[in-house]
Amino acid sequence: MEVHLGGHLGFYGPGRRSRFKVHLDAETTLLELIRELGVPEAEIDLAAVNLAIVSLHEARVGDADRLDLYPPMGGGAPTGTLRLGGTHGHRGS
Amino acid sequence: MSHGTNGSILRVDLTAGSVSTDSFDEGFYRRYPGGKALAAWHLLREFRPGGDPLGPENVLVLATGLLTGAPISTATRFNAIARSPLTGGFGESEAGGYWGPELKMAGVDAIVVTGRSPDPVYLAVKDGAAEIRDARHLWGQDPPVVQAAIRAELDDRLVRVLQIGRAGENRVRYAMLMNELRHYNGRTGMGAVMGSKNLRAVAVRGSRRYADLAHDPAALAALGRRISKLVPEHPQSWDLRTKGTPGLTDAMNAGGILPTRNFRQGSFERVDEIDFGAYLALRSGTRSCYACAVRCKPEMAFSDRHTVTDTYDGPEYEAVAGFGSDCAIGDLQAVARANELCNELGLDVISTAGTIAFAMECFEHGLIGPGDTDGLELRFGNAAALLELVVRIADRSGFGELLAQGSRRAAEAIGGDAPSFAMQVKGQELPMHEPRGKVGVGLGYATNEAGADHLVGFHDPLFVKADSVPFRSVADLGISEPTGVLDLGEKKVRIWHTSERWNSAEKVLGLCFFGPAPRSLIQVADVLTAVRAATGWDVTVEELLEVGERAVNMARVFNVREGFTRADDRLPDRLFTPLENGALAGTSIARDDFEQAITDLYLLKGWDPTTGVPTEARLRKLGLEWTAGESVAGGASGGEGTSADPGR
Repeated sequence: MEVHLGGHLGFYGPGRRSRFKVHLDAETTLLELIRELGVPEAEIDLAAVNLAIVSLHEARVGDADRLDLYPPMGGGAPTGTLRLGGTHGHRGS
Repeated sequence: MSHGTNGSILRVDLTAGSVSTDSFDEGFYRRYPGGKALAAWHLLREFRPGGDPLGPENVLVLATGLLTGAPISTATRFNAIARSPLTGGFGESEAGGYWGPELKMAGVDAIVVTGRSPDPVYLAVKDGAAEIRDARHLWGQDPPVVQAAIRAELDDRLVRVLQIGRAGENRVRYAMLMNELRHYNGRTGMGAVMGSKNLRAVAVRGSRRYADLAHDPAALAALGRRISKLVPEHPQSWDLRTKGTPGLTDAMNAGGILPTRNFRQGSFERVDEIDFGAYLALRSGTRSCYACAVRCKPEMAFSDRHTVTDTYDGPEYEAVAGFGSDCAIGDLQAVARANELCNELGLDVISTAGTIAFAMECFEHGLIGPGDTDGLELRFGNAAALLELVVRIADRSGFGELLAQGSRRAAEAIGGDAPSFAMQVKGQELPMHEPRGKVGVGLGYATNEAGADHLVGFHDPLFVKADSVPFRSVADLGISEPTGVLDLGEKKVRIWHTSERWNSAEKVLGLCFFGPAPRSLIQVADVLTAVRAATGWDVTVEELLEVGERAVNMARVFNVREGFTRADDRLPDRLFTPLENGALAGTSIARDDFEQAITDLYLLKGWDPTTGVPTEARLRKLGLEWTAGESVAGGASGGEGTSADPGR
């Protein structure tokens, strides 16, 4: 799956990368994946799976999904089924 | 003097063509250590209320902070302070770079400029001595030409040059100052004030070292080395070093707080074309301010659909959002060119973008048409019109003459619904931070004496989670309870009150917002260590918060003298209506809650909740009783107050 760590969360990415891919053998909870990636939960303000904002504690993810995580400077969006603006193309950063 | 200062203030009377020096003792500096506090003291003493911001009677103070020039990352800032031609109130703007540290090394803590020269001049300061020099041949020249000419004339390639551009010469109300071409005192029109004095530049050169001024230079150097090493290992400073402020764009859009189409929306459908991925494709490198390991300043040079040279600072987040999403221009090349034009011409990026976004909305509503705009189709998304208009604003030509007055004055002239499209507070355009997703920032916009400013206090999202890095870093400031971004209750107001005093203290110390907690590369305890090492004073957090509070109260007293009241502490009506799109679609600020929060904040500050005027008791507590009488209103020569001012 594609992972994007926005803002300073890229600090916790592999090799300090903000965009990278991980392979998931089976569906897992978002929280479990985040722990495996080593991104501190307290630093995450907003999570989106396939561009839809989700609850960090309820969402599940699979290998075909795309995950975006953002830190607090991005502001405090409510969770729900809202969609991120823009088309969010994929570029290395 | 070994207290981190020179004890010396340079006075320049451009009407008389004279230069002199004032000396101040340690007791004075402990109350007014530098930056905002030192400058506000002079402004309050010397500016006669009601004076024309663009007249010779305005007092322009350029003041270094207590730590400016210390060998610590982010200790680079200086303040430019005067009555603002944009707001009519307390004008202030800070910049980093190299000029502030150089002034400190030249043996001068601040320069107080009064009067008006009959012809264009520049000021040359070297190791405490100053000379007013002819600048008639520099007037109208581009900034790189002026900088090179001054260095050649002074036969010193290491001279640091602070200057205005064409917009400052033409007295555009939001003209800025630049130093070393790449660092800007953007806000509140300090460039117009300097231009009105026929002062094109201030060149400085010093041979001192901060170690010569510090009480314990070794402790200061050790702290500086430790902080520098920490930069790549700290998440937030790593972020600034690798991405800089443009790294914010993606997150702002995702959170629904990327100002779009003049703050109607919080998410931009073409964000991909201005986000950090797009930015990285154009960025060629990063640069630093004096002795700062964060190194967040972007370099950008390209020649494609537009051409940008690496002469000035590349676009920061404010330019990306201001000219990008807020003007609905999904073209980072055009954004970068607009940013470069502002820098070349000496315009504040935030107010230029905000004023043009305002005009675009007026155009789309038919309040103005091509007949008013010199034929420009000033619709959202029209990059060519934007670029043309930036130049016309700086030159005050055609439609640019109206926009050079700022959005508030332009709205009054256009009439109809135009004032409701002017996203400004006290006449100053909003920075690119959406109060409907950060209500504390909105509280700061509304109540700040200099108008809408995003660096007045901490941004709300940093205080949502108790175990986050930023939240843990402010425990030493007494902030212990997290609260939501949209909360306007007592907890939020208390956080804001603390953060405003702390940020004000940063402006007194000369520290950049990107260093100390809650950014937390520099912990609260580190700031105390730095001040103690610089001064030998056994300062506490409480004393630093009081220093910050004293500076805020001086700015407030200045505004009260100019007739400002609580009614001026208000946000644009749009922010009380729902955002049209994005993750916070439908969200607005509750007006009653907001007004109550202002009342609660005034009470915490010791200000009258009805008028917003500081009470005598609070002024006395801060040692500012001297500001309450008429004494401060009368002295064109810094007349002594009748009450006990410990100043001199």
